[in-house]
Amino acid sequence: MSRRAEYLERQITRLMTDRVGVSDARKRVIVQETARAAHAELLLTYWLRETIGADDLERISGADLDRALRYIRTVAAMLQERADGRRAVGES
Amino acid sequence: MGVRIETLTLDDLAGRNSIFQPAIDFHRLGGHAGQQPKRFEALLDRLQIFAPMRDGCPYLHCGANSTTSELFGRDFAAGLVGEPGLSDEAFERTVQMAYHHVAVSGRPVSQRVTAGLTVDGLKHIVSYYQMVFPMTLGSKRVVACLTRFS
Repeated sequence: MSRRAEYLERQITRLMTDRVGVSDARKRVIVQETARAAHAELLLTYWLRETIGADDLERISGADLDRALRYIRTVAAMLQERADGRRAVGES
Repeated sequence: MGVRIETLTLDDLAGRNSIFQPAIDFHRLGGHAGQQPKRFEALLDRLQIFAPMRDGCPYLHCGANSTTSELFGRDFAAGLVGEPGLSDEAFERTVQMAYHHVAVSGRPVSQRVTAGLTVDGLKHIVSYYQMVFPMTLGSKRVVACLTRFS
């Protein structure tokens, strides 16, 4: 995954630990940009529909938006080409 | 019982259940989600996707109509993202061999799997067909698995 995606993953981690003052609009941007950088837009759309019951990120807020942040952080981390010894099979 | 694996061909799977044909077509056209978004989207509901690592194959996706979801429930399936697999270690070790094989070889695997699985505290003999195939998300190669009960 790109440095941009890694940057976004760090942004999500920061948002999850320092929520005060972070707007829902900012969280939506981070989720969308991370999904795009990880090429996981279709997975995100499916997850939103099946798990939250929403067709659009714009329609969710609060705890559901935080769930979406956690979801896309997990997905982005797995799609990241890891340099910490957990490299993907077949890619070394 | 342990886990019994019978090796099949893609044509065997297509002949036993028509739901495998769209996955076979997706694979034969390159298996690239970004290049075939409609085909990929149509498969997502039944698909399970894994990101094989040296130390496991965590779930990237578990469709609401996958066999795992049908067995253990939709909430359980939705909660599998990022998890290393089911709690039955012997079962996971066996089925993950196919995921790793596909990740390394880049070739699909067709199987009939029969295993004893505990669901809600009760032991069940479960038998299903599976097509495990490589696919690409962006620049990342992952492993997809389409299963149907036999």
